[in-house]
Amino acid sequence: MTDDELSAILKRWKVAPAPPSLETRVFSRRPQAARRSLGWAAGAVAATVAIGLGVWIMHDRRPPDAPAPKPSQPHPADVNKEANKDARNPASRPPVLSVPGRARDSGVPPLKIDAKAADGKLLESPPAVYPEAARAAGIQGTVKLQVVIGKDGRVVEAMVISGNQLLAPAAIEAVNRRLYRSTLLNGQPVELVTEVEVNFRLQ
Amino acid sequence: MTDRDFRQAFDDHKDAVFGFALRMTGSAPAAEDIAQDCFLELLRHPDWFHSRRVSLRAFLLGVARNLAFRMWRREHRLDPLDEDGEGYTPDLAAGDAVELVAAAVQSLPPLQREAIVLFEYEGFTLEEIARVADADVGTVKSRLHRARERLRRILAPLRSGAEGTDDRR
Repeated sequence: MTDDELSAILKRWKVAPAPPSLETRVFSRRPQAARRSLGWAAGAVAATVAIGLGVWIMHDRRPPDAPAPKPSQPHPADVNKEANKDARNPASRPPVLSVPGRARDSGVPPLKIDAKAADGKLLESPPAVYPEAARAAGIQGTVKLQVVIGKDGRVVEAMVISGNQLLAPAAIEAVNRRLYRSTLLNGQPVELVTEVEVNFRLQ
Repeated sequence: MTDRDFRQAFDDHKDAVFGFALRMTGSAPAAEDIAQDCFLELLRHPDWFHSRRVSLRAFLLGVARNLAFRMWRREHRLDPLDEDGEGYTPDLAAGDAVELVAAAVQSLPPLQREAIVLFEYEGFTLEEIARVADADVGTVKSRLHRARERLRRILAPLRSGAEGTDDRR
């Protein structure tokens, strides 16, 4: 096969233009990036002033005999809010794929749990089907997803965080077939959000 | 860099940066992340671009390749960037030709993939690739040669398809 023939074959692979969301992502973060470009010196001065002001206010407001304030325990809802901060920012995440026929309990942010804890709740985990195109091309790897587990223990949303695009659909399909034990909080079932890794290894 | 300059740079090069990142990573979300970070780097450090005597497109693709390699290293900490793996026999019944071309390019070691993507899809010369890849022309030539050899082997069954007889096996 000549170089020209190979080029002609390679040129069949055309990619889509940049998605409109890229513009939103770049320009919504632009002021933040520009502020960073002011440099460390300006940042350090601002931080010093802010810390000094904070210390002065705390010192001024605390009664003379009052014990030093303990580090406050964050409210679970706040921890959850913080953990999901990035996930809730539409500018920072790729599209979420909802599972047809299953719906999120919108309005209540899901409780974030780590992958190990989620694995402990796993009841059924059918293996992922290796995509034939990926197998044929010798592609293997890990697809990392963020999944929302519904109150009934079934996956209601899956979002690819990283991984090869030929493997990602099979990973999503596999996690959508998973079943987890329902989680109760104060006697009520709650939704969970966690990260899942699906490994594809060629024998 | 003024607002207008930045907007112009974004409009002119967003598709090239996204396309390059997509071909390098094989993942649209990852490509979007890389493209975003790439333009934000330009905004934060316009002096980096002005200090290098390269076109803006070459500069942006250079930033994008560094971000793509950083991402790749996170996922393949123990794998070398430029080592030929064992060959494999493609199963052409598995998918359509376009998908197999994509898979074949994806299967190249990252530095060879970079060379082939910049040469074949971005139209860069060997000298331009060498500047982006921070390597000498001879090295780039060698990577391109090895990439082509491997792709020829994998895509050989598509050869008649390239001549327009059949697009699917």
